Amino acid sequence: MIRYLLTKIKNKYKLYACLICGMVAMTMIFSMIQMFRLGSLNKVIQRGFIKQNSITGVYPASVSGVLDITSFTLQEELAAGKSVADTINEQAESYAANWKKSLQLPVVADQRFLYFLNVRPEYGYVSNNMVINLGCLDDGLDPAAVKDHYTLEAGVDYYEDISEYAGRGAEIPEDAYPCLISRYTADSCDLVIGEVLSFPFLVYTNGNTINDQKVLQVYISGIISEKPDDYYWQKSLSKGAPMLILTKEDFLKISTEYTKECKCEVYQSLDYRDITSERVGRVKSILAKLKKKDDKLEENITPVLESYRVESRSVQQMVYVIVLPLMVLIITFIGLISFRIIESETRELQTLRDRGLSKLRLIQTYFLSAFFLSQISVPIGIVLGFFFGRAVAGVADFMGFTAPGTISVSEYVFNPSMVVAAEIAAFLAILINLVPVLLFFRKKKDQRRISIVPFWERYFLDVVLLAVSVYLLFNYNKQLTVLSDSVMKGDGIDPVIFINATLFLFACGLLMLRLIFYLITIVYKIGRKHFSPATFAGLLQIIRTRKSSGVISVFMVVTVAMSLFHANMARTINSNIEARLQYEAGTDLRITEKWPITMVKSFDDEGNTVMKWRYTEPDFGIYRSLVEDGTCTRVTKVANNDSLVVTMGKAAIRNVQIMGIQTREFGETAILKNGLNKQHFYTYLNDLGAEYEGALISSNLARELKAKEGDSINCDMLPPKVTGMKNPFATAKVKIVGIVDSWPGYQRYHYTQGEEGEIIEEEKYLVVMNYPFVNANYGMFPYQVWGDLPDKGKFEYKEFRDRLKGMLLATEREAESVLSWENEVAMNKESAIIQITNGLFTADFLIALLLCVIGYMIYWITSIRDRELLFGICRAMGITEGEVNRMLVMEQLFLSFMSILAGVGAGLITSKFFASVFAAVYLPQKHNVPVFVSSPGVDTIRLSAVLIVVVIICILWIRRILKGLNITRALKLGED
Amino acid sequence: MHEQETQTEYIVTTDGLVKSYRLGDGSDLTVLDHLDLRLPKGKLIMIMGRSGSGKTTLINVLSTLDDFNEGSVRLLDREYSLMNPKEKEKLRRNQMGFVFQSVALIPSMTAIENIDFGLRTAGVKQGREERIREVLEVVGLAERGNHYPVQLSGGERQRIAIARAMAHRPPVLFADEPTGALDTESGHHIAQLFKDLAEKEGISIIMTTHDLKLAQMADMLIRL
Repeated sequence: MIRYLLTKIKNKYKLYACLICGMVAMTMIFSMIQMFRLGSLNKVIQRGFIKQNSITGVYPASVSGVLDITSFTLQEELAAGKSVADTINEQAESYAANWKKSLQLPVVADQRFLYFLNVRPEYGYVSNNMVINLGCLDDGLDPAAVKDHYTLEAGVDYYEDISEYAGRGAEIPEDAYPCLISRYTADSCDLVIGEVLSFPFLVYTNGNTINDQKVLQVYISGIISEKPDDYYWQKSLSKGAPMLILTKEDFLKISTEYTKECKCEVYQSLDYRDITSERVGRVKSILAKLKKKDDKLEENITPVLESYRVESRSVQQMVYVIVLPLMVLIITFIGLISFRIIESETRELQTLRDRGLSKLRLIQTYFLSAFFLSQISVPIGIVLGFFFGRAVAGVADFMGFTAPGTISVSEYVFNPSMVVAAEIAAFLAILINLVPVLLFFRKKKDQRRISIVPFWERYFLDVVLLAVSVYLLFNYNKQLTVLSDSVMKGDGIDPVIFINATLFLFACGLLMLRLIFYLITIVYKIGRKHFSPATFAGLLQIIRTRKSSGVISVFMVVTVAMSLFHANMARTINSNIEARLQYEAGTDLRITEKWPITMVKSFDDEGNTVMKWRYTEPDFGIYRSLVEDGTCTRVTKVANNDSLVVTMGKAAIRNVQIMGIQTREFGETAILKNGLNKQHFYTYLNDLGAEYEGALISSNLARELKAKEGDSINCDMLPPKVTGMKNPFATAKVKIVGIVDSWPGYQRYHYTQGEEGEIIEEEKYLVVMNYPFVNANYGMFPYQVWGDLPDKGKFEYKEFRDRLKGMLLATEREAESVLSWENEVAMNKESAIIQITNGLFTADFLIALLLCVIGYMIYWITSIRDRELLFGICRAMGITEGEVNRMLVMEQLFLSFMSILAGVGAGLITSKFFASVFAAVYLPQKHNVPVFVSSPGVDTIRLSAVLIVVVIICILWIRRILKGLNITRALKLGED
Repeated sequence: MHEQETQTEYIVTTDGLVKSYRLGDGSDLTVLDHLDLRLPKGKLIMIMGRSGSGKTTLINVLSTLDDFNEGSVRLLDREYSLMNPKEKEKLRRNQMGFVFQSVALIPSMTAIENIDFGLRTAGVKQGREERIREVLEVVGLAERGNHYPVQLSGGERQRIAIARAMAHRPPVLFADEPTGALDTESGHHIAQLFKDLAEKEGISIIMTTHDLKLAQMADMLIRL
């Protein structure tokens, strides 16, 4: 049996090689999906943590809690003869260790505070009733490393020579303990280095004192600050109550001597890279249990896992639905090859049946050969799936392969589910392979005849499917808002949208094919009396064999259509996201600096106390230097906030965005896509520049105010939010010189999530004024620095951000945000959804193309071999080689080129119709930049070129076969 | 004068025809060794011989499908050795008809279309439909014209192949083992059809066979 199988495979090695290709493609896709699915899910989690970190500025996977070590909890240990110090140490250790044990996540930092709460120093030094925490810092990972976490700003470290500072307060007694304090403690308690604090009464919060022991004395030896970018500092020294920080040894000694009751605060930073998609549920439930047991436990992991739960649904659905058409294509491919194998073995099968071999035995043979081939495919598919998956995960754009490391693919790793998936794929492939065998044995001998019309054409399946998908599309188009809201709420993507697109694509492709056949039939009917033998035979061959040759046509149409549709969708999504991010930024580079605000008490005319504020404008010189060193071609100030109240008549609109610009510089720096306004934005800038007291307003504001160009509006400015004041402090009257729909950096729609998860859409309004006018009327308020970059696309964002940070830090300044739209685009490309979209669409495109090429070539080569006798007969009858060639070219022309054209048509139609529905999924938010379909044509050309080259190769190959055709041998072959 | 008579009397003549094949070991195998033939017009001529005797080789050489090594072959005064491949193709197209042992019909065409294809190949532009009807009548399959080859029996298919081969009225029809794949009765019907064609249509039929009974129907028998 094995030898028979091997001989069979060897004799038809081309067909079996193709079958293996199909099976490898199937196992590859199945295993790759698993890698993509888990990789993307892990990416969602990791990006969730990173995002949380960037929003809150706090390490994103931290757990903290407070342990009260009271006399009650100490009783047993002390009774067992343990020292107070050991007991406190052990209890703190056990408290923190419990989390690690339960969560089983590596701890990257373990910050601990051990302290006596609210101890009151001797009155006189500090303000009355001031209390302070007295404690120590500890590092749960390495107690000796505490010193590495802080920088001494002033003074000396523990037990170092303090004589330089002595005498500033009281004399430092010999038995006093040294302590360090933060700048915050120093400022809030008016403490200085060298100052000695006595604690004659160690007071509990309830006011009871202990006995009259020796007075504890502590002196300030230095002021410390946290080392930047140190994960250890989960709780900043500037948060919570002021604290005197002793050494741990001194603190434990004191706790034994003075009070046996203290608090232990533990802040653990966990390694969130270990929270993988498989562990999410477990981590979440453990955290919930821990929190239930310990009401003081706090953590910031659950919110990330919650948002992961929402996003993961979309991600998982997307992975499957994107590859769905490709799977159908691969199944068709395996089916196509299997049918050709059976066709080529019909005589052999008949002979074996005539010799008495049972159907079951023959089916068994095919099962064994399919099993054998599928098991060869599994390891190849897994390996290819892994490497191909990582390659496509690293694309920056559709078909935009990048050098390793450009896009992070570290989450896409081998996992056991890939093997399971590959085996499922192998099983499916076996089943598909057996279908033609079973169908063959089901038919009676006299039923094995040519049937001209394929079943889908006969039963108008294409029309029915198209009608269904158009109906669904119509319904989805009616519910675009609901669809967008549901995506924004995180309810997941409706997979039917994707399935419907596939359905439409297939149906459209089939319909196009039907129309092509109708066209060929019409051409044949019109000219049949006058055709040359080659044209006559060629056209009849196409019309009559469309059931078998139509399979390859369907395959080709669907491949081209699917590839083109996916290419267009990927490019549309990428282009729209890019356009939106560019629009939102408004310029290449936008820097927002933190402006110091000073609050001062003042008196109004009536002598009442009023609070006034003053912003201190940072030196603009740093930004000018960016132009001088060539980083930017130009920079400009853009005053920007949303504290304007605009009134006209009785209508008043609050929280209007005000933008103060210097028109010429702004025009040279800002970016605005053409077509978003009625006129080019330079026209508006010219109008504004010509009118000092002029203003451009957004069209929605004009609509609300019922204002038109030439009208005047009142603009009141509200005080900065940090002041807590709510009444306008300045007003100005401006004349409307232009009404705009869009403006650089102005987003009309903002979305927030309500308490019940509903999406709240808020419309924003804009007023643009001249910068000098804004300054003159509203005083100085923070502006952004907008910059134009000379080498777009080559900007090194991280390098620039760090450089700017350093420059600002040198003058004790800080950037609130540094935004580059190119960086935003790059970041976006690493998001799970975009990586899935680009990666899987690219994979679909390449695999479909490869299968199409293989399928097409093998179909033609094997069919030409099958028709060798026919060509021999034709040649014997006197038909020239040229005429036979023409016959074949005609077949190719109609079947292949028309199929490519039909595919291109179906792909473009599907792209056009489904762009809005897909946009609702990928770009659910309303935006100033409307969704546009990006169909650059390069993909159509690329795809068509590859297929045309393949068709030409096939024609040349066929010509070669025909040239070498020996008529008498071909005839003899037919007899045999 | 004598030569002129010979030319009009015979459809095919060969003089000293030699055809040999180069074998794998470098030696030559001579299949046709100095063969002189005079095949009369309008007759059923059968070539008989055991397997490997060169029947098919002879018919292939006579029908220009194969080249020969020595001697001369003429069809209606036209010397093969003086013709280029294009002229030979033209000769096959217009002056010859072919019937093969294998299924020689184009499966994607109906019987009528197969015959039509033959007529088009021979360059017949006018009156094809009438001629198709005629030949279908001749082969006795007037009712089966719209059937595809798979819907016909082996004998019927071969009769359609004969109809196609004779439709353009070639002076000579070559048939290589046309009854080889048929049962005795069908084979006899085909041979009878050939006999009638030769007699009624004046077409010279040159066919190979290894069936002695059929050979008895021949007007001329060549044994190899």
